[in-house]
Amino acid sequence: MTDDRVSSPSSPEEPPPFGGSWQRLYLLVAANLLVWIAGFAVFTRAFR
Amino acid sequence: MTPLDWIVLATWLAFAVAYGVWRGGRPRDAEGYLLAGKAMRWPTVALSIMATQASAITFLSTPGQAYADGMRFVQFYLGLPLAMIVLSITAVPLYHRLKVFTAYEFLERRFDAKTRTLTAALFLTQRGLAAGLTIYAPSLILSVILGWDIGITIAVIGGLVVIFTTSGGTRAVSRTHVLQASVILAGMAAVFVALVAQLPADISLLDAVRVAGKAGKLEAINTSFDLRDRYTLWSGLLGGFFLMLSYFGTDQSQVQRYLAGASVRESRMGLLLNGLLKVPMQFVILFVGACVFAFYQFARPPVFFNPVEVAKVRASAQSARFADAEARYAGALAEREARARELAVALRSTDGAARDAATTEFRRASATADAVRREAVELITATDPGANASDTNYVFLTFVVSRVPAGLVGLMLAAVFAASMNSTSAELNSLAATTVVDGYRRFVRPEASERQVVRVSRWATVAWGGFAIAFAESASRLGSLVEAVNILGSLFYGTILGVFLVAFYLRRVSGTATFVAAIGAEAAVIACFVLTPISFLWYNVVGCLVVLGVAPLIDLTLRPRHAVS
Repeated sequence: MTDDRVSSPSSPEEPPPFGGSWQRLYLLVAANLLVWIAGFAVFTRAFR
Repeated sequence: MTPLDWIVLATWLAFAVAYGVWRGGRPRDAEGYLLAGKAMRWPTVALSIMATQASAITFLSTPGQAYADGMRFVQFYLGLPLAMIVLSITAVPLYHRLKVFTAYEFLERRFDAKTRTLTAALFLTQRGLAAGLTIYAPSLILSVILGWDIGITIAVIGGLVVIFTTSGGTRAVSRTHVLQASVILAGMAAVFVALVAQLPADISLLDAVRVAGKAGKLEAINTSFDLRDRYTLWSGLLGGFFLMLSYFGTDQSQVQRYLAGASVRESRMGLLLNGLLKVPMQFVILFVGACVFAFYQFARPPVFFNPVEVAKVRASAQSARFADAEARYAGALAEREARARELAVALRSTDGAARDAATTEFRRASATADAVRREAVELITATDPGANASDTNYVFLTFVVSRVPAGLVGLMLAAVFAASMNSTSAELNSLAATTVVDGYRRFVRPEASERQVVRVSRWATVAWGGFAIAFAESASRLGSLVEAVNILGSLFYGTILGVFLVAFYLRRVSGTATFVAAIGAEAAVIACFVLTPISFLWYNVVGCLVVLGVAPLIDLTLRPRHAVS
């Protein structure tokens, strides 16, 4: 188990650990939702 | 349960509690005890957020929901990712900047003490009762299916949670959430593998899923605009968005999870990861339930999944009629199974006419079996008018104990205990934090030392644990109250969210105007509940919009008086 402790606090502007910027991550989460909704629609039609 | 199952379950419970006590450490100040020293990284924050929301009922009832009603319940969660984005942009940086311990502390800084106290009191009332139900609901299901004593089950679940939550505070809760999540995932995966392995040799998983689809159990999306329809794409996106915004943004049991993040970045990432994973996770759980349904198209399910109610009717004057219904149900199931096999074969072919004909025959056989089952359920409710005619909560665990190999049953029960302990520990931890920060340190001992705050927090955890266990122990005698408590959350979340949104975005609106608007919003929500058939998810929209719309108007009315004074 690794230790969770972080040595120093960060500022609100600190970039995310991946994705480059927060805006891109927000878009990723929203796009992920759209993909799931589309997938559910296809799933529903496929097995109806 | 076999001895191996007992060994697996007991070993897991002992290990989980010991791990929680060990990893929680001995925090000596309020930040260490209530916010885990604000030292958590985002994977831990995300798992803790998800574990807090996913109670034991999620893993026991959700598959049953899919079994009975199909997969449309997944739409309930569609607003969650959007809520995670909004909270990451707004609430997270604000809470971190103000260095608050509770969400309600922020309201005093923005408005006044009465608004803070009102929302904190609403939270304590609602969450305190909910903590009892979080323990009671899985205990009831375990006691019914396994014949365990419900009082002892409640005491064991509640007692174990109190031990590690009191000992290590938020740090213990978050650490244990990570550990418990692994056993939950392992348990669900093991059950799914066991389910696939027990399908008949000539029926593949795809065959079984196709049959479930023809039975209408795989309808994940419903685009109907009917407000009375509980789960649609629109109620999920809009109503679910407001509900999740309120739950994650204003309910201390969740706020405390991401306030334990070491920085804005860690808290944000925790929420966003939840936004990425929650919808597919719920889909998978529902899909397992749909697969249980598919499995029972090729096997014989009981006529009613609650064995206690079945035993009652068998011992009553209705026993002969019930036996007749059971015999006819067995015949109807044999017919349905034959038609399900024909359908599975037809669905492998490209002959559209044969597929349609097989589908029609299967649906006819299913309707016959369902009609006989309804007769049996009517006999159950005639015998015991207080009996719940729905047995969806018992479907999944019945499948587990009757069809899953020894050892895996113990693992799945460990997962149920883990999920129950996850939610309950977060609830007790947040109840203690609100009691101490918004009550004790605000009104009783503002000058209390850090050590005193930690000590009182521990006692508050024990007290709320005792309350939750006591409420759970008496819940079976408070049927209507239990139902009322479930409705309570939906009735208040929208209004509380409205108060927070005014605080965030309408900076010129006063506390008194918001307070009055909140009361008006509550009246509107209660009117919707009493006078209209509108589905409960929409209450969150109504309550929130009324506060947002009315508070500025009242503020305009009050403003001249403020100016004069």
